[in-house]
Amino acid sequence: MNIVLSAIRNAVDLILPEVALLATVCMIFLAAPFLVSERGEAAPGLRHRWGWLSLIGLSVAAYLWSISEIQPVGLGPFRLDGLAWFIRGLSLASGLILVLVNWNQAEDARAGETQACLLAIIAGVNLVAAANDIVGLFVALELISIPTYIFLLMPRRDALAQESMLKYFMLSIFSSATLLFGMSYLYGLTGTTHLEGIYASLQAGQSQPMPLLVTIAAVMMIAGLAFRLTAVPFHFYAPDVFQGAPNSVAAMLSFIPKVAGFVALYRVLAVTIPSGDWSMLSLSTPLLWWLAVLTMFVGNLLALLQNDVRRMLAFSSVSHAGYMLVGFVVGDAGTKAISGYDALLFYLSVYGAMTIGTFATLAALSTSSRRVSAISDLDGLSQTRPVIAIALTFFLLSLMGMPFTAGFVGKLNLFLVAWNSGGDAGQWLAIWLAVNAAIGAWYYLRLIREMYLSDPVTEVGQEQQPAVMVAIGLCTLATMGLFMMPEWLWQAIQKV
Amino acid sequence: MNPLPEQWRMIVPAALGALAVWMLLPRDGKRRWVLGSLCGLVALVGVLSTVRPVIDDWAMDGLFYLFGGGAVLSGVMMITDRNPIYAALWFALVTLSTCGLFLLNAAPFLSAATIVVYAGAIVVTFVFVIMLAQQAGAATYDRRAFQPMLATCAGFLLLGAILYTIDASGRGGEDARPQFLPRVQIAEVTPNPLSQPRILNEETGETDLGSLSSIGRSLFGDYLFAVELAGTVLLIATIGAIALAPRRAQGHL
Repeated sequence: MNIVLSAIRNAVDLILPEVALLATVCMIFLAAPFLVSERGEAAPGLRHRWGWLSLIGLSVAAYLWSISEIQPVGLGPFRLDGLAWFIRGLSLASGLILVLVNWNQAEDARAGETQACLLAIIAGVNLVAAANDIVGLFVALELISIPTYIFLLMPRRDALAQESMLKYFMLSIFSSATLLFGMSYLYGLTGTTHLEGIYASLQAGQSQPMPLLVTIAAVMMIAGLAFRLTAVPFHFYAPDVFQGAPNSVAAMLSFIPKVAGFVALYRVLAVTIPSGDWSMLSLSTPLLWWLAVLTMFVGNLLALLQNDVRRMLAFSSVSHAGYMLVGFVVGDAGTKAISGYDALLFYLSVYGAMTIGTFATLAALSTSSRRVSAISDLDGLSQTRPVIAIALTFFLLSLMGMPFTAGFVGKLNLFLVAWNSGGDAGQWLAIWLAVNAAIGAWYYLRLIREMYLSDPVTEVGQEQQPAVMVAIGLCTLATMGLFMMPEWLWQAIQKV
Repeated sequence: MNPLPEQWRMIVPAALGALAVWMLLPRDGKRRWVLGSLCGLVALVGVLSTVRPVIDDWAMDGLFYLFGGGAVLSGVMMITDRNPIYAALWFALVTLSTCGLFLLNAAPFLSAATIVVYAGAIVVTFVFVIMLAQQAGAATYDRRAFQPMLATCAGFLLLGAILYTIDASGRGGEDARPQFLPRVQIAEVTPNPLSQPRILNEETGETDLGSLSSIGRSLFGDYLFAVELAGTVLLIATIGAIALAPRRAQGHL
């Protein structure tokens, strides 16, 4: 019996931050209903208490993360390798900012459940990175999806929010089913659900006689996970969902599912096989190449046509998924110093700071009665809210990839690894990346022009929201700091 | 890889099946159900003649054809029926037929659990939801399929591709057939005693692999944390559903 108990203890040791997060979630879920009256009213200011409690939960998790050390991968249900360590830090940092953005989004009576759902999503991302088993991987992905459905409808419940929740719900279930189908083939091919066992079996060449079945597994899993990356052709939900969702949820949706999707894709696909002329990766690379190019073009070209800020940012999020897929396609190749995966992780971190910052500015401009929706709502923002206009301009320049922002460093890295990966395919990928960065500049600049060169026509919110302003400040700091001192992040990525 | 025309044994039934489903999908006006059913039956016979069970035992073969054919037929009926209640009941039949296939493959627990969960709980939930949502009669989207052409093409392209791939991977000679694989030893560590099959009979080497108790030990040994996480997911879903439901004083969403 001792060996069983020690196995359980060893496994729990690897996921202490998630245990802290889920304990906070349970605490909020249990306490919140008792603080709301039968009529659905709560004491004014209750949302501040839930916000502080969430921050405390996240800080405890961050402390537990900071004292954790990278462990060799074993046979247990969890792993704490370099990637899991890095993703955990990234998701906890973004969770901290998202809690701040989410601070005033829901009314007092609903704030508790809203923040708890956000914490559960963060725990889910960490567990996706920590899972050592495809069953655990799938359940962790569901731990992201199911709170997201609730999170989408909690803060606001008008027709638009309901539409966006239902669209996300249906397509997310469909993508989960596709992913499970692919995983079942992977299990059938290798006879185990354990990731290390799957790698060992693939490396031993056991499924070599059945390459076609490996293809089914790879294609189905890519299709299921591409939904989370908002890669074309699985992006159809993005504009409608982003348009209807509350700002904090849109910020979360533009970043967190991408992190989880790329990590899961890496875990199931990136098995390098030293001998033999085929592997999961070599089967799926051509497919991912086309996905990357299509995603970049469709996202950028459709963003040009949008008149709603959030729809435009949704397509911008699609195109950024394409840029990141470039890094994934390059994979272990790249320049001498950095591989495609390194460039991907760097861009992912930078993208998190700038996209959450963009949505945070929109949250700061919206009031409970009126939200910023059309692009013309931002007309003359430099006169009405100058500070926010400067911050938004900075984030948009970073999304565009201009110098003096972290977005520039990220795009440059992706371009360099793709160009140096060897072969025509990589160079074409680099060229398409550059072309798309140029197309993308048009719609970001259009937004900046509206802010600075037009006269204000509509009222924007003038409420002071300290929490959101802190979030904007943190995102600005990250976007600026990662341009000045990228080596700070590189050192963390080198551990992966 | 074989060129496409040589794969007619897979492609023709898939195309016929697509035609059948397209003709049978609910739409305005009259459906050509005689022609559709004929196409469907020919397609089913075609597929069953290619995808045969390996064992030569008339009882097992008969049961395989009964359950496999039953599952496909009920599935087609489920998506082509205009009445959502009947569709839910056809879905129960699909599940029962699939459970029969599980039984044939010596998975009695999986079969029983699937019947309890799907044919029992889930179909009852479906029927309740349909009854509560449809007090005003059937809606337009029940009487008419949305994009029947595109849906049929997409579904059967996927099905055809998977059938073709499985068939092609089985044709590469005796070595290439899907087979049971020996488990690859990953590392020299003391294995968790809960995940090892228990030896029942020392002389014959019979183990309890596949029995209910070994499934239970695996569930709470190897997959303990996955089970606990699934419990957390369900907790969040439950609390979320309660929090989203309108309060009595508010009366509506």
